Amino acid sequence: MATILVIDDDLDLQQMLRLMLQRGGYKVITTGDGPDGLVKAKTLKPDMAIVDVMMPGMNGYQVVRKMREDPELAGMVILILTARAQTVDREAAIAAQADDYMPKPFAPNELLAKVSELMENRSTTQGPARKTVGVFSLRGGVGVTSVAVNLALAFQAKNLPTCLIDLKSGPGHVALQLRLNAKITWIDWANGNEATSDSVIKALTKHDSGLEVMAAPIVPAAIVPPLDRVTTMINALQGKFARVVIDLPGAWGPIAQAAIGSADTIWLVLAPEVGSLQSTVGALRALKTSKIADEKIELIANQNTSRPGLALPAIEKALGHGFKGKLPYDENQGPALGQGAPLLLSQPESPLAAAIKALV
Amino acid sequence: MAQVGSRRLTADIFADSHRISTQMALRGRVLSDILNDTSTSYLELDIAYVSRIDHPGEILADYALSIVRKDRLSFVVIASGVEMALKQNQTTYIFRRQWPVFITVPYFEITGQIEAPANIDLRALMATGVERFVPVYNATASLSMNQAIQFSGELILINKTSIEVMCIGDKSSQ
Repeated sequence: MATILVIDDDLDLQQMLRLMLQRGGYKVITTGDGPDGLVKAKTLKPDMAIVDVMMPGMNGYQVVRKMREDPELAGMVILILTARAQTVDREAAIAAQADDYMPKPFAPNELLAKVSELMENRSTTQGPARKTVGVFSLRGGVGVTSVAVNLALAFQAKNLPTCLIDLKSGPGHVALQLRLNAKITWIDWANGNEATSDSVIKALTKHDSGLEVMAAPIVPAAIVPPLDRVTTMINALQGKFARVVIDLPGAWGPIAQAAIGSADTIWLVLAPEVGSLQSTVGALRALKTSKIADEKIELIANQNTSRPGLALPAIEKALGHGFKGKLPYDENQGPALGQGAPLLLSQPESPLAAAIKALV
Repeated sequence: MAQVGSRRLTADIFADSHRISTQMALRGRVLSDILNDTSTSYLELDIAYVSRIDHPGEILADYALSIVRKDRLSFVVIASGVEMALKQNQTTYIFRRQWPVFITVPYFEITGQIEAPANIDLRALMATGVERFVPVYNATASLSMNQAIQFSGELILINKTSIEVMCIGDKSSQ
């Protein structure tokens, strides 16, 4: 029997929720405040938490954030149930990394259906701890998109439900490399009216491999979407997928910074040439200024041309940073890009595909 | 089907720059009566959750004791529970109908429906003698500078002294 923790300071509502959920076949634990809810969550390990927002002392968003920060609780299903029933409140719930949101008042059947749906989703996405990797470079042409595409496919090949976000404001090349015809791009979604986690999922385009893609537009966006929509989108996808890979914009703007802040790991890609080295020095300084922990940054050397470049040990010495991965030149990469058949799928034993697989 | 929710009225109170969410135990009264009560200039809140208008979903802080100057609040959004905010079925000898309305208050545009006699008198509607707050049904308040930020409710009670412009009737062009 699944266990649900109800955190709500309204004692009448707490009792009503207990009765409703017990009739629905769930074991129910209740508490009236956030700090006690966190203690009960840690000790009793419920499958799901239903959290009110307007609670004195520690509000529901703070409770959810604390739960998501705790590795033991990060995978728990969380439903926000609140009388703050505006669209901005739904966005705030998703930004806090709740799995879903339901406004009060609600019909008992609606609540039970929502709980059941969330528990079913949990069983399909449960597994290893979730992880988000941002792939980044301030130098164009070093193969960031190719690395991101193959990395995402490598995760998917390990049966980890994965989403790849092409966070360029246009033109993005992820859809091209995967030969996908995306009807909705992240810019469309972010400039749209609906900001629910369901609407984020509906905006994804599925690749034959099972990989889900949030595509970028082909034509550069005329209107830059609000930053909070970017974080809402990333948080929603982090809640749904075991792995999220972000092909980050190649400029140090607010969107790149927000996405980097949401990532667990940054793959900083460089090619062994002077321009790329200089850009990497700049990127490392920018990341440091933004207080991105050094442990989050992993340097990836991508030998993307057949010409010999700078010696990798010399680059490591210059940057004061060792390489996490060294991706070799692969003559198959050019044709793979042209055919829209990434190496990880078309030639998984090729040197580049093998090197990326070894890193996941 | 019966809805499950709190017995207290949840209201979003808007001043020029802040959103105050609160849950009120009305003790037998309705919110409009409390707001229109001229014997007190203040509205005491049991608990207030404060947000800034530019980030209205984010709760800055909550306070167990707070007070609002009624004359300085712009409007109050009641998402649901209109029966706790307004007396229902008021008997009247004058035929009243629903009028579409567009109202501006500082930083916000509000659309919805007001109830008024068929021969509507806007001056009478704006008079603050008896009722300081005008009820707008099925209403939406949009931040003028960012229309993506909206607050909707079964009812919005608007402070007449905050109203800058009130337009009645269907708009004829965009």
